[in-house]
Amino acid sequence: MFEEEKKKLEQRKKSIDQVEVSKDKLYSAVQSGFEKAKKERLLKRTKLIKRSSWSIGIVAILLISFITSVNVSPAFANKFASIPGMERIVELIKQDKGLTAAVENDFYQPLNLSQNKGGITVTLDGVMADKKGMVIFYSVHSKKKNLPLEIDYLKLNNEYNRELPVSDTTFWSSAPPTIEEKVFSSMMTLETYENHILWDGNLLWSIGLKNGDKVEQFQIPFKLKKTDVVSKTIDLNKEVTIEGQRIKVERVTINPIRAEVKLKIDPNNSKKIFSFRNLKFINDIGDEWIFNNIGTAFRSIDGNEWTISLQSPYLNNSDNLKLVFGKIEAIDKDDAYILIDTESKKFLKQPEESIFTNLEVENNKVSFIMDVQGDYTMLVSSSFVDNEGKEFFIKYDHTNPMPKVRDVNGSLMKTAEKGIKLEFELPKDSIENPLRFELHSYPTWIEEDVEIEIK
Amino acid sequence: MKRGEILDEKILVKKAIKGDNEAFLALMHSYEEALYRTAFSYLKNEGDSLEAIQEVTYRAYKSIKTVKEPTYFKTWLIRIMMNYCQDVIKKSKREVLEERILSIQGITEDFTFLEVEEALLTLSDYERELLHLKYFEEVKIKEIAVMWNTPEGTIKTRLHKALRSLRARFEEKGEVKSV
Repeated sequence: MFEEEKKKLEQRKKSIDQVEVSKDKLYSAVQSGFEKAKKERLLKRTKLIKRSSWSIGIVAILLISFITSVNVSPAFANKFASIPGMERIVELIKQDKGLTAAVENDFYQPLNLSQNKGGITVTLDGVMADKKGMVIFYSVHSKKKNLPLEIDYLKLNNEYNRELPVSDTTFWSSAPPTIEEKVFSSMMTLETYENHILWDGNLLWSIGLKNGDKVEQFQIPFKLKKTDVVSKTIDLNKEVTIEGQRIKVERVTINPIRAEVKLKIDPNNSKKIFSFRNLKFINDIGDEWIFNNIGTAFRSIDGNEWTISLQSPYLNNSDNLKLVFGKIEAIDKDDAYILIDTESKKFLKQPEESIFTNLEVENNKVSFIMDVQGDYTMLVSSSFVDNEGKEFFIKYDHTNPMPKVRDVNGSLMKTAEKGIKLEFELPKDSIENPLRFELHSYPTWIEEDVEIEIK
Repeated sequence: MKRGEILDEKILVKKAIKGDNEAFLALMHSYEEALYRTAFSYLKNEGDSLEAIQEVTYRAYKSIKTVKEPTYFKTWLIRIMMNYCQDVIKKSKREVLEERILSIQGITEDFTFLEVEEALLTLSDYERELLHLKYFEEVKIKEIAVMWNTPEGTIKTRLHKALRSLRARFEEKGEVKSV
């Protein structure tokens, strides 16, 4: 049966087998496809994660790290020349005016406690604490053959190794570093939960260092000396209107390590605010305290209450202090989402001058690119809702399992053009197009700059 | 392929799945020519076919972890290629098929070839894929069945149906001509 058809198909094959092609061209085609794929590294454990992850009832938002240079005064340098490892600590905090001032003013408690295992020595250099938070300075010394090491975890528990009411804010704005040098110094930053006071007394600090597949744990107990630092709380309740958006500055709390600003956003505002990443304190003698890589921001689920912590003007050499908003990342509420149609393979809605591109649907996988130009911030929610209101969470390699939610597998990649490629599987359940993603960040701004007198 | 070679390939595939770039490249280079012929059978010109190789290498690298049967790695690659080519063809539907085909040196005179190509294009993606796997790539029915997770009997039935559709196309053509 069908002998003739089969014969024709075989003839077809023979014809194509005659086609010649140069081996070199084939070879380079494979190579260039491979190079392209290699460049799109999987984004793992970067700030993207935290920005879209849920923590107890609040959405944590990540802010970009800013680098400014603050010169260390000669007096400061001399004062600590005698304390072991101090030069490394100075190096670590020199971009943070608030922390530098705190160290200069004896808020730093040197510890210099070490543990050695298999050629690796971990040293707890010292600690700084106030009512709201703590900074732990540590170093890792290792022989070259043990490198590189990855920081698998950092923990601060009580002396019985139980958890404390603190959140670790250390790697909020960047991936944990890979230790490639023989002497490595860094710091762990912690914030206490609302209405809790940081544990005072005996504490246990741990670090897990990963070498290949093996994680080695180092644990160092230490005693935290109580310091009687008084927080400065300023109740302002001042409302400002920035390009028609009403924002109330409720309170500023200033501790030596961090200062915290509480904001309330009018729910009737026409714009959705994504971040206050340019918020800073200034005084009239030119000092600035900004967000930096350990600044954090929390907002309530409805997006109307914000708690933002930034560098601290606790030790302010002027009698004057202002809070400056700078450019605010925001978009009209009507434009704060995108709609995707997986059948026509089109964005049905996206912001004007959109940076969403390359929507593809193939083999049950949907992907699109966010052209963030090197600022690897996730623009959309970690879930999408179909036209019938069914919500699906996108589960990445690094997301913790979420029980009782519908989820689909997905991945985030850096593209060669410095964009982020989001890819996810279409759900097995039937879905009704279009799919809606909420925007969580977008490079559109409220440009007007507003200042508020703090004192 | 000798038994030893099959074993070696299986090891290479397993290494590639684990993220070994050398193994991945070795595999891709060993199949680049087969992939080229597949691409050419769909796209009919060198430039597009080379671009297809590049794209398929890219896609294969990205989804290497989804290879479930290392033994059928080659067919897995071929299928990525076929999917890609089908998309390309859909995107460029406006292009006249004959023009593409006529540009092929040495084949242009071959009327049978043109006839088969035209007929294949009128089939569904599925039928075309099936006929291509069986009569171009010479993949065994058993392997197709495992890959598509479908009983062998069903594959055979569908293959017959595809051949029947093909025959119907040939006959249609014939009728048109005789008018």
